[in-house]
Amino acid sequence: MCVEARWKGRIVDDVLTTQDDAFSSFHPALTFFYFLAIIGCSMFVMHPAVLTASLVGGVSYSWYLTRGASQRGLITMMLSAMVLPALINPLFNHAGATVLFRLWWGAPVTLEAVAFGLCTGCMLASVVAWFACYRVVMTSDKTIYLFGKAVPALSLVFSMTLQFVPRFMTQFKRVLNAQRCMGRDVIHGTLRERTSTAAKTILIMATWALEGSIQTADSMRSRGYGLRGRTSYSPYRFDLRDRMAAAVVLVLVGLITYGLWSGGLEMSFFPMINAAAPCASSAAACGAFAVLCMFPLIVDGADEVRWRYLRSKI
Amino acid sequence: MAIFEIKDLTFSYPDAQRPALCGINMAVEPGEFVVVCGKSGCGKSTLLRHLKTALTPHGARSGEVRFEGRALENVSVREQAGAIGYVLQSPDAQIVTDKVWHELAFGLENLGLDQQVIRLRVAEMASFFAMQPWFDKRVDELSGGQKQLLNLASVMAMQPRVLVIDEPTAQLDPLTAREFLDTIHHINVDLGTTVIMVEHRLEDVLPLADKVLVLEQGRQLLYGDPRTVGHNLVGNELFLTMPSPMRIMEGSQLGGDCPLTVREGRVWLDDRLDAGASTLRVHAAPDGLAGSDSSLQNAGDSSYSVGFAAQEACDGYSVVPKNGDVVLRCQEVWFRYERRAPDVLRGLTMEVRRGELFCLLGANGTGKSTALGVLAGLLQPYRGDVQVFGRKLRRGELATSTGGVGMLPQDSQCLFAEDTVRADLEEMLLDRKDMAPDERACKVERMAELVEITHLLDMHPYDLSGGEQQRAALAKVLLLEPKILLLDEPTKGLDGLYKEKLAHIFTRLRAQGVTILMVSHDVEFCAAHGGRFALLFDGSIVSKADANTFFCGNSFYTTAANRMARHLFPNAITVEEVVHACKDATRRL
Repeated sequence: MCVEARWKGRIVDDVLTTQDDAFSSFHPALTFFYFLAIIGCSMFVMHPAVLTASLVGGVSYSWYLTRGASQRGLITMMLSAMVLPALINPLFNHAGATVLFRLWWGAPVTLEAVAFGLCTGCMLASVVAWFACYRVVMTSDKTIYLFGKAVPALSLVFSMTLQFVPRFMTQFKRVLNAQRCMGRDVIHGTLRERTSTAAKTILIMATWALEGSIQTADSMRSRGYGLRGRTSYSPYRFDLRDRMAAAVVLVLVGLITYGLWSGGLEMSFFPMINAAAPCASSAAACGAFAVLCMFPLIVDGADEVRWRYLRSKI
Repeated sequence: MAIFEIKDLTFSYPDAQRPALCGINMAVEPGEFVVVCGKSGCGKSTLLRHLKTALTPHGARSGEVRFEGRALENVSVREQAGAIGYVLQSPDAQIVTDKVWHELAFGLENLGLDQQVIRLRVAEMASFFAMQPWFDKRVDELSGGQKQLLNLASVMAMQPRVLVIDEPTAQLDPLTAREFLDTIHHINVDLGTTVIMVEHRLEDVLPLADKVLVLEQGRQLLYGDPRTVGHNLVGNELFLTMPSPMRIMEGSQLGGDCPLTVREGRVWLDDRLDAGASTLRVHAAPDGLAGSDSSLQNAGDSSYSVGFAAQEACDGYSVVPKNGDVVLRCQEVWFRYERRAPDVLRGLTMEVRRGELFCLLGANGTGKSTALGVLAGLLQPYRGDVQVFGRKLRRGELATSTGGVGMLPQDSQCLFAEDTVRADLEEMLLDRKDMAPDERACKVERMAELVEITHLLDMHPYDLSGGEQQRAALAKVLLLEPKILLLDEPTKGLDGLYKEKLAHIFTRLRAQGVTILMVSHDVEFCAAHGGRFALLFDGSIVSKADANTFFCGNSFYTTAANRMARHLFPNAITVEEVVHACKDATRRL
């Protein structure tokens, strides 16, 4: 029973995460702009404070989205993105003034190169984490909605493709199994037998796809596809909540931009690690970025608190 | 004014020998529920396609189709797109987009409606069809029933005045199909939408229908209300597809109002048997008279009783071989699809004996198809083992590759790779180096004869109807000369006639010593033809018996005939048995 409940929870997590996550329910334009700002900043600002905030925000949000379900692939990817540059950069990059020690063939390992490697690693890992969040939050229909405005026909084709691919794969598996049961196998047998089975399977799939496409075309025509003046519907509305959130995000991005413009976030590693002196603008920019990184979790947290509060009233 | 009026419609496909439709005359009044039935290939779909210009096939046509008093060609494509809703057979292929909400909006987008209107209509449809829980899902996450419901909803969103539906439940299991038909009934009754539907599940749909159109080889055989049509069909082989209560009434010749549903059937049966008893009591008829009466009755249903005699002769094989060798056995098999997934099979234990027809019944999601996959070796159980002919199946070994086991998948289209059925069948024998080419051809011919597809051998497999494809696929599997045949829902999407044919094929195969294990939802078919039954629930078998003990004990999971007559004849399972029981009862009175 317990196992089953957990499994069901996992399915819900994998498929419907966006339903539990308040941030995902914002307008796609806002979420897209948000990810653009976060990922852009993380990629181009090499300031340790910014990178730390981005990494912490990205990892915790992605953990929150998947509810801690096993994400072995993602963790491996993030760790390797972090560790590899940190290890490899000092081996090949010998710039920098502070020599920590020399390798056995005499090449110097400098503090600056190690720091740069670490920062690069953090940057890559945080970008990986944020893209994982992006994938969950920005579902295909949101992407289609955003970019379909420019080319409506293309967005329909995109949507049809996304519909077709899983269907094709299901059928493909079915055909392979059916063929296996008939003693035709693509894994066992001589090369010639396997090739002929593979060719046959492809042929079956092609016939199936053509046959299906005739029906799809009928269904489209029957529902008036091709009439003049086709509109494009989206279930999204830019409402007051979106406007408020957009205002917050814009203010935060504004602060960061000001910090960047005033040079408060400048950082150079070579020949010596040299950060801009902390000042009001840099502190504000770092703070703003940190808030921006935690923004989805803050939104969700606020929702959660509101829920508890409302429930306590009952 | 009739919503559709068809006058003398005759149509032939290019290069066809005979017309696909010939002299169709019918009028459909607004709000009517019309069911079109007939054998497959009789022109049902062709007729339906003439009800919407966008789908009308090319070919030579005469006569006319009028929509609300205007010739259909003169109704603009835009108006037709909205006013005439069309739902096709395949749940998958008619879905265009990847998201449920987008699919609902697709037709409305085509009509060029603005955001607000579309939003309202989509919301309305989602509520009407109770689609809220899966409104945001991707379409590939939906079940077959949900997909077909989505297709219906996205057509309904365009607010059609008439709904044209072509075998919508052919690929659904009986329970889902029933729910789907109920939804259509709901639409018809609550919204007043006219419904014209091709459907082979007449048992479920006939009680809902106002009119029935019967086609035979493109000709209009009958058109009228279900009871009259049913009565006039007696003697025609199409009568086999009619609901059980109607068949019992016509078979037993007891007279009275024709019952369509089980409820009506029960009332009718009580009424008739009571009436029979009271007339006899009042008139105290002498034996001789009563005898002549029954002989008259017998003369009346001569054609029908001949049919039964033939049936009984065939059923001679359905005697269960009690002590036959166990050819297929699975012992406490546990299976799950993923490590963290729940168990689908929980200690499944069963054995199948040589020469029997073993039916594994069960509702959706009880693990029937999974069980078949495990028996075939396609899926590996994590505990327990499967034995074929007494030998344990090794890990990753297919039961089919050990020789002697053939498996027919649910979707028979998966098997066809060639341009003609003949080539497809001959391809199965290409590996047999010991056979001369003409020997192969001969074998193919014999096989085609066995499954009755000789006349289809030179057609493209995809041009066959569902039932024909099924038999061609069966022939293909049989060419491997299996001793055990595993079938996954072999009666899915077949009408009554095809089911009869399939049953005959099974009988012949079993006479040749082939063991058949079928997994099915189809209680009616299994009850009439199966030998032993097992009910799968929650991953293991809860009940296992022969037909009588199995079905008599169940109150829901049994045939319509049994549900109708169980209070009088608890042991009668099939229509024929109930008819016999009725005749016996009246004779005794």
